[in-house]
Amino acid sequence: MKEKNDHERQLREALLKIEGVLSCITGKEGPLAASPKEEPSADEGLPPEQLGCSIKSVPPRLAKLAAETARRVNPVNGPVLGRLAELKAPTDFHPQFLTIVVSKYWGPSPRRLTVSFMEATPADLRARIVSHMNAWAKTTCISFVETTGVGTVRIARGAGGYWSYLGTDITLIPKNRPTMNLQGFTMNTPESEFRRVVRHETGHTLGFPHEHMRKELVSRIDPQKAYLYFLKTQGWDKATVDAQVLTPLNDQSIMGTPADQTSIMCYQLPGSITKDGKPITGGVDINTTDYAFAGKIYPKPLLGLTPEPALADHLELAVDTTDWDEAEDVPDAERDATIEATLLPSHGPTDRYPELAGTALANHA
Amino acid sequence: MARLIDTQSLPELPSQITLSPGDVLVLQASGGYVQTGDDVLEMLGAYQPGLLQAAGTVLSPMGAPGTVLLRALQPGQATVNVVMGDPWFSPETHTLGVIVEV
Ligand SMILES: [Zn+2]
Repeated sequence: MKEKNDHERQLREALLKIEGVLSCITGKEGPLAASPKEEPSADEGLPPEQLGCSIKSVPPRLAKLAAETARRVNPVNGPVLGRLAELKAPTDFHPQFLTIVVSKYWGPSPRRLTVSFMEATPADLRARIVSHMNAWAKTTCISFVETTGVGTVRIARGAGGYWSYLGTDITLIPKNRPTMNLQGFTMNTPESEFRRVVRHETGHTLGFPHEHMRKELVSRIDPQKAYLYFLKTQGWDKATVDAQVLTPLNDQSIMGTPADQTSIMCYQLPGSITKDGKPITGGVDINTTDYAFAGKIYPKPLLGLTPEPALADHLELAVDTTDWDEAEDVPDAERDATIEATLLPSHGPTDRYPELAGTALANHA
Repeated sequence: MARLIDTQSLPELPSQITLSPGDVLVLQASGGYVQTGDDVLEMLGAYQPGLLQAAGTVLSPMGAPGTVLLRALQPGQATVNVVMGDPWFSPETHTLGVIVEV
């Protein structure tokens, strides 16, 4: 009897996870959800700090391939891609929208993404960066491990600020180019910056977009104040301000939690540019809502353990990066092999729950 | 002959720079503006990275600009504020004196 109850409990948990994933897409809570939603921690009094970075998007000619790759890795991406048809006109295809609509999630199966460094990087710094990337593994089935070879995630520390390609797009990037940039990070960089920046960029690698571009937050900004503020502080023209802070993501973002100004994926914006005079506080670390949402999208295995990431032997790499020519595009077979290689030998939920065969979770790569 | 002047090799910018008319200064910065002497020095703009593809299209990421271009116009003096670091988190403004001479 106990065995049957355990089985039912486990099955219910699996269904809750499916429902959670789907609700992230549709914005609707399913009937199984019994517990209240995690509250966004916008008012938890965190210090008003945030970062700026850029999500790199794949070239337009690879957009369709990127979407197909994302859908193959995780069928969750399929319905989101399907909603492209709902967009009204070609002018809606702003790169920022496209990056969100064609989401790049890795899927619910446990994965270990290998990490390498473009420049010669001390072992202690490599380990420190990877450990902060693995902060996300607290609630998710995706972990990061340093490799002596060329990683799926390739980190540079040169000029250009902070950025990362989004989710499964990283498998489309030529292997002699970085997928993430952490300008100027050294062992002297404060721990708070590792939390704020490395964890944010890793969020992009997991497929999470910028939270401050949610329309609920963008609507709080007074455009005229923003234009003046950024002209004065950065010398930015109107078009730059539009692109940076005034263009909201649409509702097709897979980031399904309520807009959360203390998310690690949210910038800080000052009260002097908001309509109500209150700042958009921004996040400095992965918050409770981030962890909960990431855990829904990338559920930890219900049974068994996701192996802890172990650091491999270190190899210092010095890779010359050249312009990305079309001839450098990652071949299909190589990309598939890269994605396949991230899967852990541990099994997905449906290996343990044959009843789920044919469901969204059963269709993962 | 005008020069395209790379500043990446310096850990810090000097407080004063001497240019010739036509020179273009490339700074790793998120923004900037000419404070005085806009007839001597022109801010061409703040730019996001872009990558030319073989097909002729340009790949450009979303995010903050990372490069600022300034062009020397004619002999004289100018001051420019260069904004460096993370534009959303404690950006740093450096004032640069620029002498343009033939
Ligand atoms: Zn970012």
